[in-house]
Amino acid sequence: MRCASLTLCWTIKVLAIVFVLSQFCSGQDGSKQVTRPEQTVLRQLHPEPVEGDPPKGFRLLAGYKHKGAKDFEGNQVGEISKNDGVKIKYEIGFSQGFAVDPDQKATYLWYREQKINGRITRYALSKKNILMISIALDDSPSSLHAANFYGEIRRPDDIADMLLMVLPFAYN
Amino acid sequence: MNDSIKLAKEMTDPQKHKECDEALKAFGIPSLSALINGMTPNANVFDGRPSTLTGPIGGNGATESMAAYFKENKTAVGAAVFPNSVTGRGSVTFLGDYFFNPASMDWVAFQRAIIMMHESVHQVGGKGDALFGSSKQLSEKIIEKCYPVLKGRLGGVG
Repeated sequence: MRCASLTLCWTIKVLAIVFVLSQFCSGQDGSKQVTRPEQTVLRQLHPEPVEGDPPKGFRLLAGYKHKGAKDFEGNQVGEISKNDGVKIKYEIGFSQGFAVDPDQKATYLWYREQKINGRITRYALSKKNILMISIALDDSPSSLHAANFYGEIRRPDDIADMLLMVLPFAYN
Repeated sequence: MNDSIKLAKEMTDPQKHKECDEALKAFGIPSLSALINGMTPNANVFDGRPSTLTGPIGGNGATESMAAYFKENKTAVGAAVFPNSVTGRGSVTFLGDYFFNPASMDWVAFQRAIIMMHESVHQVGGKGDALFGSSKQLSEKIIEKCYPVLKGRLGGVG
C-alpha cells in the first residue's frame, strides 16, 4: 500500500514537472512570434507581394508568374519569375527616380538608351549580371516618376525573356 | 500632420540624435533634419483627402482628383510626392487615409514620422527610391538608424 502511494506521489510530481516544462517551452515558442516594432512598421508600410495580375502592359511569357503589392507611397512593387527563367523585380511610382544612371556608365558592362513614345528608356547590365531597365513615366527629365526593372541574368535567354515581357509596358 | 513633423524633427535633431540625422549620409544626404525642416504643412505638404487638384494620377495615367485617388487607395496609400506635371507648382507631398487612419494603429506615431522622413527625401532632397535600391530599402535605412531614438524616448519599451 505504502509502495503504491509512493509511486502515485512520484507520478504526480513527474507529471507536474512535465506540465510546467511544456508551458515554459510553449511560452518560448510564442515569444518567437512577437515581432519588433521596427519590423511591424516596415511590414505595414511595405506589404509582402501576393500572386495576382501584373500591371497593365506587361506580357507574361508562358510559365511565368507574377506577385505584386502596393506600398504606402502607391508604388506598384512586385516580381515576375518561373523556375527555369529570369527573375524580375520591379517598382513603379511617382518618386522612383532612375535606377539606370548615365553617370555610372563606367560601372556597367553595357549601357543603352532610347526614346519610346517621346520618353527616355535606359538599359544597363551591371557587372553582377543584373539587367536594369528604367522607363520614364513623365515628360519632364527632372521628374522622379518612373518604372524600374531588375532581372537576374544567368543565361542569354534571360535577356530575351525580360525584354519581351517588359518592353510592351514601355510602349503601352 | 503637425505632430508627425514635430516628432520627425525631434528624432533627427542633429545635436541629440546624430545617428538618425545622418542615416542617409552614405547616399549624399548629410542631414535628414535639414530635409524635415523643409516640410511645411499647407505649403508643400497637404491633406490629399479633400483636394480637388486634378491630374494624370489614376490607373494607367487616367485623369482624376487627389481626393478620388486617395479614396481608391484608402487601405494602401499614406503619402506620395506628386511631380510638377501633376501639381503645376513643383513637387508637393499629399497625405492619404493610410497616413491618418491606417489599418493597424500599432506604432502609428512612429510610422507617421517615418513616412514624413521618407517623403522629405523625395520632396526636399529630390532623391528617388531607386538610389537606395527600392522604396522599402529607403524605409529600412531610416528605421534602422532612427528607431533606437524612439526606443530611448519610450524608456526601452518595445
